[in-house]
This record gives sequence, structure tokens and C-alpha cells, in this order.
Amino acid sequence: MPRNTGCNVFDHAVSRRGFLGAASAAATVGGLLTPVQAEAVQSGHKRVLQLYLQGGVSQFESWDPKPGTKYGGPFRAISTSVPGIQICELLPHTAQRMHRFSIVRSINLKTNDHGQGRLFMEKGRRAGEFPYIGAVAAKYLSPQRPTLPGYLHITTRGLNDNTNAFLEAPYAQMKLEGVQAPANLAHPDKVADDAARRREEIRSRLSERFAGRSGQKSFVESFESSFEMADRLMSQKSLFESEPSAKDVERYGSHPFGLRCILARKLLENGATCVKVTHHGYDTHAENFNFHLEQLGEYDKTACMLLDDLHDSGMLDSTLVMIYSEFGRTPKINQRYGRDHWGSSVSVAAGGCGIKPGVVVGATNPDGTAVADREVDAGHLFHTWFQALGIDSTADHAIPGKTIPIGDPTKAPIEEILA
Amino acid sequence: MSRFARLSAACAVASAAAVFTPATRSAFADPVPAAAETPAANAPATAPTANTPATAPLHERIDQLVEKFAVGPRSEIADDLTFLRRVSLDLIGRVPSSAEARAFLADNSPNKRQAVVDRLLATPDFPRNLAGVFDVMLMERRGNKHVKTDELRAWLQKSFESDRSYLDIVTSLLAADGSPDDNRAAAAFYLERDVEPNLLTREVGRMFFGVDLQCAQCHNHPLIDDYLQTDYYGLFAFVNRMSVFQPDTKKPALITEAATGDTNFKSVFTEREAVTGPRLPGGAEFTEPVFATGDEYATRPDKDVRGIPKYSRRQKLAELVGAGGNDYFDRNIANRLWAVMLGRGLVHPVDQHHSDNPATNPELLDLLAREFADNGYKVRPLLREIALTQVYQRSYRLPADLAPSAEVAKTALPDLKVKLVAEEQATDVAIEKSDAALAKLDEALAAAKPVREAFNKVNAAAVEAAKKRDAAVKTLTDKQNALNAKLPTVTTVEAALLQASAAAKLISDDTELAAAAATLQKKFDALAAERKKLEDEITAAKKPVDDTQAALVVAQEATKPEREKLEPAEETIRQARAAYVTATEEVHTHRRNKTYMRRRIEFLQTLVALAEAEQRLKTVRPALPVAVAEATKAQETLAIAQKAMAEAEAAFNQASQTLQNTTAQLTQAQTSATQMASATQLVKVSRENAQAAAAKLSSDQELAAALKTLTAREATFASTSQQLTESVAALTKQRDAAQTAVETATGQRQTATQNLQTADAAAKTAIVKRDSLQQELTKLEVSTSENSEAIIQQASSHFNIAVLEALTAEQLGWSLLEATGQLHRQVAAERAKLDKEKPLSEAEQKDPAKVAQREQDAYTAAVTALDKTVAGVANLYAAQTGQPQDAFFATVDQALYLANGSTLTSWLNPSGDNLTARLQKLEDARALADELYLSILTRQPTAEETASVQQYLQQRADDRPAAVRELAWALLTSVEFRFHH
Repeated sequence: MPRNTGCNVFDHAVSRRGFLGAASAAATVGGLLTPVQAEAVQSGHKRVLQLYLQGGVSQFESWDPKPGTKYGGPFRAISTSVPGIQICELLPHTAQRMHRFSIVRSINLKTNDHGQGRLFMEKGRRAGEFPYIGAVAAKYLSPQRPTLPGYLHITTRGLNDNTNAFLEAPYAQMKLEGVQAPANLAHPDKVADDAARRREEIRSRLSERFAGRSGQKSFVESFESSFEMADRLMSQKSLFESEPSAKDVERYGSHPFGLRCILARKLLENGATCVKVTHHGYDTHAENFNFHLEQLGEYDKTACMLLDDLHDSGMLDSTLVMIYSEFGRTPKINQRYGRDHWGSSVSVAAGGCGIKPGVVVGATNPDGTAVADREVDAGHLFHTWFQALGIDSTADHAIPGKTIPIGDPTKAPIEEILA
Repeated sequence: MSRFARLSAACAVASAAAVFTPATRSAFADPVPAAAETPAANAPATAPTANTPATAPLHERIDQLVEKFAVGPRSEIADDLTFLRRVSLDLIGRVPSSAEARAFLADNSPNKRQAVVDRLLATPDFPRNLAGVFDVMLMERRGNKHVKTDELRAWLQKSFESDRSYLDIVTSLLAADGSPDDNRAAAAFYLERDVEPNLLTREVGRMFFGVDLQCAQCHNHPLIDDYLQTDYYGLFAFVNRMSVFQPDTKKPALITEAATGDTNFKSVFTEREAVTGPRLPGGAEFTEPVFATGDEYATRPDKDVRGIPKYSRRQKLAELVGAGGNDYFDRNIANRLWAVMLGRGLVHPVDQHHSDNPATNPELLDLLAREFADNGYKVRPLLREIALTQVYQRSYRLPADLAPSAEVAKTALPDLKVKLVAEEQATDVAIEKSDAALAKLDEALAAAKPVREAFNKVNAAAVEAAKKRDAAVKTLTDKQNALNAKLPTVTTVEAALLQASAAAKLISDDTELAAAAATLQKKFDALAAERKKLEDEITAAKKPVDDTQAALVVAQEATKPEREKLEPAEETIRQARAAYVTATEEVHTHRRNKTYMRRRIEFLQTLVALAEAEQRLKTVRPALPVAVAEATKAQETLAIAQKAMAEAEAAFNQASQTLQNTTAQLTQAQTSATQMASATQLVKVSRENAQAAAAKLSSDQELAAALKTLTAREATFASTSQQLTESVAALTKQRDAAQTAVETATGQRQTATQNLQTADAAAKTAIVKRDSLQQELTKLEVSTSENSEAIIQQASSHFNIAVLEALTAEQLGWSLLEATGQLHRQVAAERAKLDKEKPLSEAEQKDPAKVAQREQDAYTAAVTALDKTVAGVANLYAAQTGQPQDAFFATVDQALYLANGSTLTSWLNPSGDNLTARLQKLEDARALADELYLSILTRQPTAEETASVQQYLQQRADDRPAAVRELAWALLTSVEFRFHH
């Protein structure tokens, strides 16, 4: 069987030219960036990285520590690189990079349900059919000829949500089973590369002929582009197949979250618009403290390595980074040393594209049992993310025949953390 | 008749565009002179006649109405194979086989289109496919939570096999509570939506009435004026008392219903508060049976008991719908069935029936709705009529000329504009009336509020009393149940005791027996005591029941006067709401007409604009090259003038320089000459004086010498002076010549300047002309392209051309199976299996009925076996659960599946008599191309396509099997296969 060159069916002349152009330009910038990174930076392509701490990370053990108070728990608060901002000692690497982040500590979701909390955080609406952040980002931020599907989610749990709602199908979340390659990514044994190219030629010739006669081009374009995207994904097969470098594994960690974050970086560098990485296991009804020690220990360094890489390659300025959960955890510590579901005073952190760093918005009361200042909810956050990305979240979706505001019209962005 | 003439005729009728009011609804039956023609080449199944009476077949009346309101470019009737492919997909859900295509082509009967429609409608595939279509339509891929999708589909299939009325089917769905004696499958509609009242409100509205009221939950719909919060809660009231009942998750979920629960609502925008009883869209409220508080249930709900009210609003909903006669309901299903066949609703999207989105042909929608209802809501006959229409049989290919004359459109426009203004005014008047009606309704609501509060206060005591009564009844029932459980044991022990005692009496010396009898006696005594205790408790428990019942009756009595006050107040509300609904319907009618007029005007204006642009293009296109040439020429002329100007300038400069030089020389020479003349004069005077002195002093030698010198000088000076004078004269001449030269150059320069200015102006004019033509051309081309697209859109939404739509997920799955020959392989396998298991006897083999039955059984078995495969394809190709399923989308996963998936790859391996095996056997490339295109695309290849197949096979002569696979793959994955056309 002939060697799979990975670039076999469609003519990649255009993207290859773009690649070379960016590569030579990169040399003048500093010469430290790889060509892909340089292209990612120079394209003006804005991206989203979602680090989703599934199950509900405790705000006490992360962004809103209350040491020495009634519900504070055993961990200390530590100073960060931003004077005056303290976070939980479980996030030492993050603390050193606090000047790249901001925190919102005054989110009241008014729900203690995993599903409702997640949907609210993703859709910015409590109810109704609305697209997820990633799908909206993919629709409005994807380049003209994207090299990867716009919205990729690295996870291992198969919640089959309707992530694109009324938006077009290409913007739906494409789920990646951990770091495994998507299904059907290689030609079957019987079809050699040159045969694939030949049969593709016949296919597209037929399609062209049909398009010319039907006069309804948009369907045909969408159909044809799915084949092109499939081909481009096939040519990016190595992204999924190549072993991460020993150095990356050492820095990020060899655990699944580490490997997923390495893949996330590769995907962002290679043209993905929104990449969501889920870190499972924060639903700590029992042994909250031991679990957070373990979980955040894994999260903190790995996430910081990823952020460092994005920063060093210059991509952080054009990549919105969100660190969030479906809700937080109860102030009250239950009999099993656990904390239960809590949507009334939740925190999130964000940085990168469009976010003013080193800011803390809002506050909870001294015991952390309620929001004390600047109450917001996921509707405000949704507006904030898109304003940060330069998208007018108060405008309507570009859906023919429908008038649907992008963000909840009764909510507004959190201006304090917008750059 | 030419297309132009057809269009003119159509526009002429359109110009008289009717205003649709309920009163003119039956206007469709009026015979209208038709402008239809039947293309000779491709005979449609039927053609409308010039005069179509109301008794004519429905398909003729449909075409009549289509013609009546037709406007814009229209395509021809599609060719036979396109028709066959279309009707096969729509009626049995898959493309035809190459054999079916060949047979259809070979059929020379003039009625062959009608015959194939009837044949397909009679196949078992038809009800099976229709069941799938309805499942997807009504459930939008929900299923398998409580009721299996297969179960629902099987029920639907059975219903369609027996041509059960759609009204009946919906009544079953809406009445179902999931109980085992009921139809479990029908409960899917509610149960698969978790019986969630807000979701059910939206879904009942969307699926059965064509209105998506979701956004009217918290306030009147912000964008659709017709959709009111009060409509939302009218529907909501039918379903908000239901919920899922499943105390034991191992047992099937049922639906429980409460007997109480008001529907109060408040707008988050206007703070307007209201309450409503159940009401269908467009319908009125009604009086509901009233039961005394505490007496509302046939079965009172409890933790483990499913509530069954004496009066069920769910049942009432089913009953009201089942009674028929709701226009929203009828129009919704007529529109959805039209969309099943034509690929798009007359109202589109199908769940957006409202006055800002009128049907593209409202009279046609009304005709379909009425005919469907009048003929018992039978789906098969309606689909048949639609399949026989000309409008169904149109080609998807656009007519070449998109902009036939707009003259007729132009003449139609003023009239339409007048009508639009009239409808706008009528809408405003109707809105005022409906506002007044709303104010009256609000008054009635406000007046009823204290009365309701007073009732609720008194009723609360009754509710409390009912609770106590229910608790007392429960205590009593529990005891009775305990007693009943005990009684058989007591009876058994008693019987044993009696017999043992009798035996012991007979055999009095048997101590063991006596002991046994004694034991039994003891046991019986204990049991009797327990029974007694329970009986006493029951007696005791009866009293509280009586007491609490008495208290309840007292409490109920106390509510009566308040209820009597409440009832008229509620009646006032009902009447006020009915008046309000009537007023809003009036608004809808006018607004619908207004929007229809506006859209029609826009369409006609687009046509006019396109025609004008095309007309203008006829002038601009040829004018542009001329203007370009003229501009080029003018620029050349300008260049020549510029050169001449430069030369003249240079000549002038040179002449000026010469003049300057000669003038300077002359001046210098004149000065020298003047000096010399003066000197000469002085020397002369001096010599004369010296001469006179010398004459007097002749001896003076010195004087004589001086005189000599002076005389010599005088001569020299005179000579020099003479020379200088001559030089001045010469220079003066030169100066004069230079002067003249300058004057000449000045003149020439002036001429050149004038020439330059003229050429410059000419060039500028020519360039402006060229550029403005260029700009106009670009603008015209853009607007023509935009207007053409708009006209394609409009033409498609008016069904002037066939709507291009993607195959549904199921159509794609079954078509892939058919086209690759996989379906037939499966049938062969099932036939072999049956023949092995239950071989037909020789006699049976000669009986055509038996053979046909065997064939049918094999086919059914094959279809059942392949259902899962199709479900797998649907997984990849269907829209998300709970989303409208008619939108086309293409994903990477789909493309990867087709490109690399093992399923399609294996289907393309030659095996049995599947497609690639059949193709493999065809040595003639021409025959191979023919079979390839007929099997997959249901058309014959063009000469060019045949040639390219031939060429491809030659190129790949080294691996013909692979070449065949590649060709088949390319056709199966082409956009042409993916689309319904």
C-alpha cells in the first residue's frame, strides 16, 4: 500500500502558501515560534480555550478562599503575582501567573442541578434552545477555510447535547474521545491515495455539474465543504497520532488531562476555533478536601503549562481562556467531609483575548454563603465572553428568517474585566 | 403559448389578487380561465382543463389555484426518470432500482405516471415509510425513554395500512395516558417529552396547530404579533395538570393527572396579569364541569396511586381535537403533508403559521385543509392527489430566461399598492378594536379577581376538610385491607379447628389430637382477637370518616355561595375573551392580507427591477467597449497635443532666449556707438580748435604735432564710430528678427495650449463616460445576480420550480441500500432462509399467490433486518433530537463515514448480484455507464459522462474492479445523490 502522504485528495495549494508566508514572516518576528504558531498568531483568528472542571469545583478551594472562617476548610490562601489578590494554596502555579487572569467571584446561578447549571453556563440562558459558547464562537470566529472543525471537545463522557441549536451543523461540537483520533479518519485499505484522488475528482465534477443546473448553490457548497473539511481533518491525522514529545509530557504530566491539554494546544495551533477540555471529577460530596488536593494538583500545573505555551507563542492575546464549572460547592461541609451542589455564590476565572488581567470582580460575604457585591449570572458571563472576543453579543444571530439575540437581552457584559 | 404569454396571463390574474377573508374562502371553486399548457414532450399524469368545476379531481383544482396565483419564472414538467425518482422517494422512501427505472422508461402508456403512483401507494413500503415520516415529524427523533420508537412506528404503520384517519391518530396520541389497557405506543407523544407542561404546550402547538408559542410563555411574543401569552396559557391549561407517574422505575411510566390547578400568568414586560381556562388556538374557552371540593377524583392520586380526575382536561383536549373543525389544526396538517411531498410548506417553516408569514398561496392551503378534513383525514388519498398535480411534477431546473417581460407586473403593481394601503388601514382599525376588546377582558379579569380570592379563601377550608376526610378514609381503608388480608387465615384456622375438634370429640382418647385441637384453638383465639381488634378499629375508624365527610359537606356548602358568585364572573371573562379572540382573528386576517400583498409587491418589484436591469444591460454591455475605445483614442489625441505643446513651449523658450541675447548685444553696441560718437565729436571740436590755433601759430611745432595726432584720431574715431553704427544697425535687425520669432512661437504656443485643453477635456469626458458605464455595468450585474437569486427563492417558495432538498436520513439510508444492491442481496438471503426453513411444495411453487407471498415475506424480513443499518445512517444524518428535522446540514463525520467508513466500503465489494457485481459483468463500458447512472442517479448518463466512464475504465484497465468501485463511490457520494430533486 502506498504511503499515506496525508495531503492526497484536495489541492492544498492555498493553505500551503499561507503556511510558507507565515513561516518566513515568523523568522522576522523572533524566530522562536514554530510556523504553525506563527500562522496562528498572525492570522487574526480569535480562539477560545475552555477548561471545564466537571462536577463543580469548590470556590473555597480555588478562586474565593475563606481561610479561618466557619466554612473555610483546611487550606490557606496564598498571595499571587497581583498584589492584593489571594487564591487557594492548591493553585500555586496559577498564583504565579495571576497577572494573566481575572476572577469573577459573584456569580449566582440560582440552580443546584448539574444539567441546568451546565446549560446555563454554556448557553447564557436558563432555558430554551440556544447554542453553546463554542458553537457561537465557531460560527462567528472560524476562518473562511478552517483547517479543523470549529468546536472540538476533548472528553470521555458522552453527553449528547444539542450544542448548535439553530446554528448550522458545522458549528456543532465535535466530540473527541480523549486523545483518540476521530472515527473513519483513514482511507480503507482498498482505497489507495491516488485512487482516492481520482474518485474524488469524479465526485466533485458531478457535483459541479449538478450545482450549475440547480441554481441553489448554498446546499451544494455546504455539502462539498464537508468533504473538504473531512479531507483536511484526514491530513491532520498526525495531530492525533503523533506521540507528544517527552518534554511536553514531562511538563504537562502523563495523566489523561495532561495529554488532553497537549492535544488542545495542537488543535488551537492548527486552526481550531474553540477547544473545550473537560477535567472530570469535581463532584465531591465526600472527601472534598482530599479530592480537591488531588484534582487541582493535576489541573494547576497542567493548565499553567498550556497557558505558558499559549503566552510564549503569542497566541494568548487572541485566545480567550475560560476556567469554569457548572456551579460551585456548598459552604457547609457535610458529615462525609464533602461539599454539595451550590449555585448561589460561584466563581470563574478567565484570561487572554479581550480580558483585562489582574482584576477581581464582585465578592461574597465573609462566610462565603452569598454574593455580597456585584451579583451576576451566566447570562452576564455569556455577554462578557463574546464582547471579549470582539463580537457584539447584543446583536442578532445571522440566521436567515429568524431574529434571535446572541446574548440574553436582559443581561449585559461585565465591563470591569473587559480589556 | 410562449413563456412570456404564460407569465403575462399569470400576472394578469395575479393583479386581481384576491383579499383572503373567511367569507371568500370558497372562492377556489370558481372556475378560472386557465393559462396552462401541457408540454408535449413529457406528459404529466394529468393536465388541468380550461374549466375545472369544483367536482373535478382535487389535483386539477390544486393546479388551477396554482395557476391562478402564479407569478415569475416557472420550470417545465420534469422528465420521466426524475419523476420516478421523486415519487419513489416521497412515497416509499428510497430511489427506484435500475430495473424499475428501465421498466418505467419502456412503458408507453399515457397514464404511466398515475399508474406508478398507484402502484407505489399499494406497496407495503408506503405505510412503512409514512410511519417513519410521521414519527420523525411528530417526535423529532425523541424516543426510547419510555416508549420504544419501533413500537410507535409499528402502531403508525398499522394505522396507515388501514387508512386510519389522521384525526383519529392524533386523538389517540392526545388521549393516551400510557395505561396498559390503553394504547401504550400512543403515549409516546407525552411520555417522551417527560410530560413537561411547558414543553408539551410548545409541542402540541407546533405539531398539531402549526404555531410555535414558546416565546409567548413569559410575555406576548416579542416578534410575532399573533402569538399571545393568553394563547400559550390556553394550551398550557390542557396539559399543566399532567405529570409522569412512575413510583416503581421497573414498571412502565404512566401519566397521572390532577383535578385542580389554575393557569395564572403575568407578563414580565407589561406586568399584565391574567388567568385563563383551557382553549385551543383560535378556539374559545368553554364551561367545565364543576365538582365539589374533595369530590373531583375518580381515583385520588397518592404516592403509589395514579390520579384520575372525574373530568380530565387531557381527555377534553383529545375530544375537542377529535371533534374536528379547528382551522389551525386542519391547515397545519395540510401544510405538513404538502411539505412531505413538495419539500417545503406553503407556510414555511411549518410551525410558523401567523399573519406575518402567510402561505405563498393561502387559497391553496385552505383548499387542501378543507378537502383533507372533508375526506375523513385520510393521508394516502391526499398524497395521491398531490403526486398527480403538475406543480408536483415540475423540474428543479431553472428556466433559462429568469426575467420575462415585467410589463404585466408593472401594470399590476399600482392596484396591489392601493390594496396594500387599504389592508394597512384595515389592520390598524382591527388593532384598535382588539385593544378595546382586550381592555374589556382586563376589566372582567380584574372584577373576577376579588371574587376568586374570596372563593379560594372559603375553598381552602374545604380543601383542608377534604384532606382530613381523605386521611380518615385512608386509615379506614388501610384497616379494612389489613382485615381482609387476615380473614383467609382466620377462616382456614377456624375450619381446621372445627374439623380437629370434631375429630377429637369422636376419638376422645387421642391426646395428641386433642393437643393439636387445643393448639388450633389457641391459635384461633389469638387470631379472633386480632380480628376483633381490627373490627373494632374499623368501627372506630368509620366515625372519623363520617365526621370528616360531614365536615367536608359543611365546608362544601360554605363554598357554594362563593362559587355561585364566581361562576358568572368567569362566564364574563369567557365572553370577553371570546370577543377578544374574535377581534384578534380579525387583526390576523388583515395583517395576513397585508403581508401577502407586501410580499407579492416585493416579488413583482424584483421582477420589474430585474427586467429593467436586463434591458439596461442590453444597452450598457455593447456601449462599454465603444466607450473604452473612445477613451483610448481621446487619450492618444491628448498625448499628441501634449507633445505638440511641449515642442511649442521649447520653441518659444528658445526664441525668447535669442531675443534676450540679441537685445543685450544691441544695447551694448548702442552704448559703445554713442560713446564713440561723443568721443569723435569731442576730437573733431578739439581738432578744429587746434587747427584754428595752428593757423594762427603756424610755427608752433608742438601744436602742429598735436593737430596731427588729433586729425589722425578723428579719422580713426570716425571710422570706428561708423563701424559701430553699422553694427547697431545689424544687431537691430537681428533683434527685430528675434522679436518676430518670439511672436510666432507665442502664437504657436497658444494654439498648442488650446489644442491641449480641447484634447484634455475630450479625454476627460471619454474617461468619465467609460468609468460610469463600467460602474453601472458592475452595479447592474450585482443587482441582476441578487434579483435572480431572490427570484429563484421566490419561485421555489411559490413552487414554480421543484424545491431542492436533501434526502431525509431514512431516505438516504434506504437509497444507499437500494442503489448498492444491498437491499436485494438481503432479500435473496431471507428468501433462501425461508425456502430452507419452510420450502414451498411443488404445488405451491406453481401458485402465483404463494410465490408472491414468499417474495413479500422475504422482503419484509429483509427490511426488518436492515432497519438497524438505516438507524445507524440516521444517527449520523438526522438533526438533533427535538429540533426541526427538515434543515439540510453536512458534517465532517458524515463525509468521513462516506469516504472511509467500513459500511459503504463493504457494500461496494462485488457480491451476489449487488451493484458492483452487476457492473463487473458488463464488458461494454457503455452498458456499464448506463447501469451505473440508472442504479444510483436514476438517469441515463450524458454522452460526455459515458465517454468519461469509458476513459476511466481504460485508464484503470490494470484494476477494473477497483475502477468500478471508485466510479460507484463517486456517484453515491455526489451531491446529486444526496439531494431530492
